[in-house]
Amino acid sequence: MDPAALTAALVAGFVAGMASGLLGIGGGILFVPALVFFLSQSQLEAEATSLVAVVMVAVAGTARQRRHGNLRLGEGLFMGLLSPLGVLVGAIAANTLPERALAVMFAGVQLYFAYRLGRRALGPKPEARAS
Amino acid sequence: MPLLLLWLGYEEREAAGTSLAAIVVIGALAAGAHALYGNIDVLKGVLIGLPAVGGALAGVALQQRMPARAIAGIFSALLAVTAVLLVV
Repeated sequence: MDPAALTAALVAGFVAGMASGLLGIGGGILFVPALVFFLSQSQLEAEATSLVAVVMVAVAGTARQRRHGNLRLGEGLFMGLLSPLGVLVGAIAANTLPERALAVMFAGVQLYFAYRLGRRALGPKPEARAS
Repeated sequence: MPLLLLWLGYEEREAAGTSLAAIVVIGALAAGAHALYGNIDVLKGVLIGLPAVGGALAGVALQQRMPARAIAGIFSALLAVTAVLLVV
């Protein structure tokens, strides 16, 4: 394996893990391109292989967040177990709708959440927020 | 994470922590399915996953020192950027 590519993969892995811990995401958004570009995997192989790294960081991040008192374990596991339903709905949608329509719809949902989170970021401090 | 935050009334750090627990389950189920098709290269996954575990621990530590609004702001920026990348 090319040492430069290996180094780049390790750095990308660290950055992806950092994003995961900071934001509570899986990190696949960075693992997948890193596996494609630096470890010469196909898109499909990378999507599958990234899951190994996703599970590793999620276990580490969950354990650490638990120590900080930021974990509702039961609710998290419950949501995880509901995910196959989401996969089913997604798979049906992906096979019925044109790819472009799916991309535009998904981007629209992301922009909506970006807007809402942005307002939260710029809004009153949490202690002043009516909950 | 945004769903927990905006719809279920979680605090930022709680949403991130709980979201990771859900991702453990989702990731493990999906990995199991892909493993059946033989698409997973465990060695490469661990290779990129090991530095990532270090990154995750650093990320969680950093998050505890950040204002909650900054976490929401960074997530908002990430969503906006990926939304644009998806359609252009």
